[in-house]
Amino acid sequence: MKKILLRHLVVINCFLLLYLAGFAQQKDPSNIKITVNAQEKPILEILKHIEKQTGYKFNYDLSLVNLNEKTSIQAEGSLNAVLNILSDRYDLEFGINGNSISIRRGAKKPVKASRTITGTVRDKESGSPIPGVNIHIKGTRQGAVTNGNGEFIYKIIADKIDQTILVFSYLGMKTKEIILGNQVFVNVNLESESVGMNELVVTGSYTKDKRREDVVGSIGQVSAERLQTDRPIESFDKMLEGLVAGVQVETTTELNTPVKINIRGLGSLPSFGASKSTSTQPLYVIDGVPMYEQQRGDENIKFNGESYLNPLSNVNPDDIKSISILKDATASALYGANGANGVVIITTKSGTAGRTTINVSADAGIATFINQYKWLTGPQYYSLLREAYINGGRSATEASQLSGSKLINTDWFDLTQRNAIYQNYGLEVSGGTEKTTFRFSSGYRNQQSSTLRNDLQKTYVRLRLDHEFSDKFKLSISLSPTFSKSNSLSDYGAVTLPPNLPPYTDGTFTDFLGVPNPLAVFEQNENSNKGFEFLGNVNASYQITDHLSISGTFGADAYQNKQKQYFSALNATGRTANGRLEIFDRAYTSYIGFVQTAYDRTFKQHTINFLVGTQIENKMTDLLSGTGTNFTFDRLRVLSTAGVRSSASSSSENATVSYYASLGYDFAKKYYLNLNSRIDKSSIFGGDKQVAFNGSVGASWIVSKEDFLRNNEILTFLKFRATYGSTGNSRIGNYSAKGLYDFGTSSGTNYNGNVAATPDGTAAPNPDLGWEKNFKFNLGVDFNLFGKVDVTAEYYSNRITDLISSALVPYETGFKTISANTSKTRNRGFELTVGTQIINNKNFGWNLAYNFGANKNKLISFNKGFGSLYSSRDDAAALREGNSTNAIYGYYWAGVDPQSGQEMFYDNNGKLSTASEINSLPLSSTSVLGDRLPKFQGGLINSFNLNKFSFSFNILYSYGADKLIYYSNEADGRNLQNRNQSVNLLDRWQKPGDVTDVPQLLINRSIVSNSSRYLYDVSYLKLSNVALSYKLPEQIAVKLHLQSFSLFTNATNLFYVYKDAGTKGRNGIAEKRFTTPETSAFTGGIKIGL
Amino acid sequence: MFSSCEKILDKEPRDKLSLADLFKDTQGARAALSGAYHDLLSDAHYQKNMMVYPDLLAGNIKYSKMVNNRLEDIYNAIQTPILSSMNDTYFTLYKELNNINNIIFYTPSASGSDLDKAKIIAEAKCLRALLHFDLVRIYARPFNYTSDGSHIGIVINLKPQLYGDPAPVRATVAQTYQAIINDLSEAIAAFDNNNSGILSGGYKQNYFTKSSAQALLAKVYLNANNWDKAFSTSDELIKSNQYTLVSNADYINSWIGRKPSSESIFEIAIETDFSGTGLGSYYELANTTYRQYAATADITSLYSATDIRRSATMFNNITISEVNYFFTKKYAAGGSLQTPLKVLRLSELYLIRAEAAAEKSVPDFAIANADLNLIRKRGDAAAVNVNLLVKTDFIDAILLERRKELAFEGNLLFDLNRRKKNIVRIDCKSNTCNLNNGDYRLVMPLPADNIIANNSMIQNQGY
Repeated sequence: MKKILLRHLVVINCFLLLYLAGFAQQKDPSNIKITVNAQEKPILEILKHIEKQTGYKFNYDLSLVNLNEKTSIQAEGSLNAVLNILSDRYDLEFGINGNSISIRRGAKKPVKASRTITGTVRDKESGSPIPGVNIHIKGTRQGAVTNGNGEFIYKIIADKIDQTILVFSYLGMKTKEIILGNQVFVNVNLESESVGMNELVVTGSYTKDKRREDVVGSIGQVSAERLQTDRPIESFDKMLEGLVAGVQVETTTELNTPVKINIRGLGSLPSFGASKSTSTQPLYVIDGVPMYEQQRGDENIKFNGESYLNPLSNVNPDDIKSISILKDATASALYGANGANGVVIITTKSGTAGRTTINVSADAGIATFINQYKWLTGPQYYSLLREAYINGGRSATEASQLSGSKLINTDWFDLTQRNAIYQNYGLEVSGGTEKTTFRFSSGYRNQQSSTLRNDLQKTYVRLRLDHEFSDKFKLSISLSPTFSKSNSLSDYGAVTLPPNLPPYTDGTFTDFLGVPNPLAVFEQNENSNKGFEFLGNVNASYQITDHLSISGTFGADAYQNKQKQYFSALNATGRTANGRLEIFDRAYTSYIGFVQTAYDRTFKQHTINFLVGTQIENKMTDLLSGTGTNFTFDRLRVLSTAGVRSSASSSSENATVSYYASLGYDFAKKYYLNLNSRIDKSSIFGGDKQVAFNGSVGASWIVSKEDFLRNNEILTFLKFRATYGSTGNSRIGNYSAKGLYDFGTSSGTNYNGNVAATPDGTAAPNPDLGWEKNFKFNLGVDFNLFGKVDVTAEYYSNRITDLISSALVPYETGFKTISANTSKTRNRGFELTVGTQIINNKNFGWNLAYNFGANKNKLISFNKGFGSLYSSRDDAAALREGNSTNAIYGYYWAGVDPQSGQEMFYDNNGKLSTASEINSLPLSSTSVLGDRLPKFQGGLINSFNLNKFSFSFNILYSYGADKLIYYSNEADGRNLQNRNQSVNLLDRWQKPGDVTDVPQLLINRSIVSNSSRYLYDVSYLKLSNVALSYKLPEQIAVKLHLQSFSLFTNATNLFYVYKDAGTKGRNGIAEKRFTTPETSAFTGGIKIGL
Repeated sequence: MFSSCEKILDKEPRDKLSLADLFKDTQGARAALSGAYHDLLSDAHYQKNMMVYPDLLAGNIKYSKMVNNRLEDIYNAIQTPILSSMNDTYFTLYKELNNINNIIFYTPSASGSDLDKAKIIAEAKCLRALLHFDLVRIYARPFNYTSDGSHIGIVINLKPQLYGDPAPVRATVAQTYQAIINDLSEAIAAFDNNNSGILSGGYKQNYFTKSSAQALLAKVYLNANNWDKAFSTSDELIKSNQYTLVSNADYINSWIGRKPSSESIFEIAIETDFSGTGLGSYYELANTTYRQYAATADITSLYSATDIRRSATMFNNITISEVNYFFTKKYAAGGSLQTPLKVLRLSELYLIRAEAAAEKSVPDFAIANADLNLIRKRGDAAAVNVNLLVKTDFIDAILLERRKELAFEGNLLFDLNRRKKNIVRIDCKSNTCNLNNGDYRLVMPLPADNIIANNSMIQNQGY
């Protein structure tokens, strides 16, 4: 069977590609094109093929010439050229006469020199050998191919061997030519071509890096350069915005808070209210170690006061070499039960052999507000409040008295906010020998937030060592501690204080009844975090045979944070408690270990790689808190001086044991097949449900390597990919399925002194609770036009079943909701990535990268058709079959009645109703007003090089997302006596006949928080970043005794264009989108290589 | 090697316990039982709703303030399935039942002495009976709505319900009462005669024991119109002489402090360090945030000038915005002065025996009148003995005395319902002061969410 197959393949290979029509008329043998491709065939057979192709006949006398010698020949060209090769090789002479070619033994031909050379071809960047590299003498098509270890043997026969030029070519690598000289051993390093299909892609922690061409799955990769780590952004997750198709980053404007990243839409259900659902976030893996994700739900309620920080900011963006985003099943199936929302693989930089290089860098900058919210001034506020009192039935005199000062105009925003300063310093030392390379880096970042007493300081250290004990045994170690300190004293709330209140009275802070004076809070309170995170891993690999290797990785992540919060007795925050101190101590440790064996082999054109491994992972969280009140002396802020103390602790743990296998196969680097599977067993789920099996199958076909597209100058590359498979999601917090008993309730925990245990209302037992399964289907096409434009287009359809959410259950169960596998959703979408080097001259280059991602989500079924789940009115969310899970539910606003000045709404039957009528309707009568996630979004990145200058700008866009703004800043008089409001209230209705959008001001009023009045379209386009850098010419740098010297500047968020532009002088979506306004930052810095 | 590796997967929560872990031994079962008693103290149950709404809707209670009143929709008889204030009670009671069912279901396999386990289960069954009894009175028509109790009752929950289980359905009222009686009978048979709970601490009245189970059973029989059994059960308990009526002189003091009075049979203990919002907060003179449940003239006018229970002695008097309000002294204070919540008292047992004596298959008006007079004269030493021999007259007298004796203890509405009496409220500011017997609003609606989540659930008529 195998033999037949091989022979068959040989025949296909021997097929001589020729346009047979018209050959007979063409008599010039140098114009007749033929192709010969034979492996170990007698010369005679080759000649017969030439006969078939050309119509020529060979005449020979087998007693004079030996045509039975077997030979291999790969040639393409004119008949003459092919005959010349045969002539050279076998000392034959060909005479062409009409349609016949006579063959004779060559007479007195000078014997050509020959030399056998050997060598290895390696990837310059990774140092790994490259199989399948074509080697030939320039001007011929004849040559050798490297084997599975990148080695080759080549017998060169030529007139002047020393001057022979050898060409090494491999798709995705820059073609390299060398003059042979007197070399016998030729070792060549090939550089990868920088753009498009040719980059080296990090495919995961378990698998080797692959060239883009060999990748079957859907992976978006961002290099350090593209990530633009010079931007004043503290964590890499925020930097990813707009860089990868289908990756949506829901940014925040607050420093060091986690952002949400949605890869191809939401893979899990959003959680609202008390409902519990799985994490919707991707899995972050740094150098093989999954990073900590701070998730609520497991801890005791005593820990609700703890702030949540972003552990991802503990990775120094300057240490990142690349970020890969695994999007489809084939890419992420090896992550099994945690890969459902995609996987983000972060690879850090390592050292390179050679001279030790030292790089230092420093940059600093300042941020100013953009799209700042416009508040009422003191006098405006006074007159509006007075009007609201009068509308409420007060007399004019009474209203004036109640409305406070007419003249004071305090700008609370100005008093509590600032232009924030940013500084970042870096040091990098790297180098090594052939056997050992190292890289040490350290960084210090000091970033202020726009709110006073809010800042973040990070000190990063990272050490990476790679050592080869022998050709077979390699070890790599990476250690990275990060220290962080931050102050997050006040939230933004203080800017809403009435503007006609004076901040100071008689030289002291004005004391408002019950409301803290923010300036006093800044001076007297404390809210600080001190954190430490340690990431480390060791990887060892051993090459057992040429094809078999074993490797093991052990990694650990330790995260600690101590939060200290003090509410001083001197202001309203801590007055009733007479000073309150809260200390939270969080310690998380996790370890992961995986061992795997890999088998890699190339048989002629077949390449197989097989991988099997096992992994164990354990995570522990320990929490400790201490609370003290009744402080004797306000500045002694330790628990021991508290009159009343209480403490709490909480801990939780989970573990997963997994087994995985992966099989990759390709034929002739043309047809690819990829199979992945993984079994996970998790402590989170109960009983039989502990085991999850996930797997994927993927195939790709490089069409452009087929003969009919070979050398096509328009479509220079074409590849189709299709993958299908499943991944899971188990991240619902620990112990969810077991049914928990609580020993602490708010109303005392005992009955007659007996400890009282009662079922935890949010943790109903559900032995049937299992993994969420995300079945991902992906179709992709990659192509390159004119060798210049790289395009990747993908369609995906992800069906997510057994989604975990809270389901309304009959109350007789003892629970209102139970965590159960309730629903099915679907995410469908289209992604497009275009990369092109528009101009690539020596002195000027223009590179453009564009990406586009569209996604549509639908909840196919929920809770067996029983009740939809609704959030609170204010959150306006629901899980209702047939709609997007991110839909905004509410009522349509009908505007303000010009006669009465009252707001009107439409109920679900289209009937005009008042606010209180609407609010008394059940939530099930709401309808879909919009969707929180965009219809499509992406980015456009342009970079230019001109001599030593480089310039780039990023444009990001998002279309079709809606946002429901919480009404509190535009409450039409409600609560007006307590807080400032938007300037939009100036347009209020005042007398019959006024046509306006703002109703009559009333302090007592009902508000429909989920009405379309508060719904905005957040479609926008923004110039998110502009960067300019200059590199000193090398000659000058050398004169300064420097290796390199460059200067760079950067500006973020330069301008926005919103579709829903709003009215000038009033607040629109631009101002309302973020609570703390966005900032535009300007930074500049230098980088010096010593 | 793999299996030893996988041991790492056996994780138990640390600051909470999993169901399986808790019921490993009887110590855990006791903690759950303690939780079950403690749960009775929820605001939706005895700490407010169950003790207030029957008196509020039937005419003993009115509001002393205008806004932010609790159970206002019930007072105005405008409760709806979506917003009813009693929805929370429905959920809370089934939540309590879940814990109790866990105890009954898992305790048999716990390690520990069989004697202890039997006692834990017996006490849990009494609690289960109490909860079903409360539920059937709130959410279903009284037993005699149909001649055989075959009308719709409540969901009887006798084992833990899981998400995957078939959707619960409502049983008939007769079936419900049978389940209650079964639980109590089984518990009584299992109890010893020591009359103390399995948990230590507090007083015997804080737990279900043979006697308190009997007292509850007598009340259940009375509501199920099983007069013979109501008579014999209450008779047996009274004759056991374990409880004695407090005297007229001690009556007011018997409602102060945390020590059970001599006539208390079952009451829910309040922790020594309790300082939260308790039932008393709603009647507490100083507590202007919560104080709201004033007595109506309808109830205060029922007492004679010499009755110890009259407004001048048994009520606190306060003038708010120039109006005089009376607040009962039964629960006169919340916070740290909150008193235990009395569920069953000997005086009620006398009234049960009296009513049953008059109704039983062989009526005994001698005992009936004697018991009635005993309670009347305990309250009003100057009262003249009555001897009513016409049943309807006697029942009316019993109902009157029950209203006077058991006011503010969560009985009036149920008594009127089971006796098919109309509600007539005179000192009343509701838009609907009078509700005829049979009106749909006398039975609370089932929560709307519960109907949505369960296709086989039937809503009460009229909602």
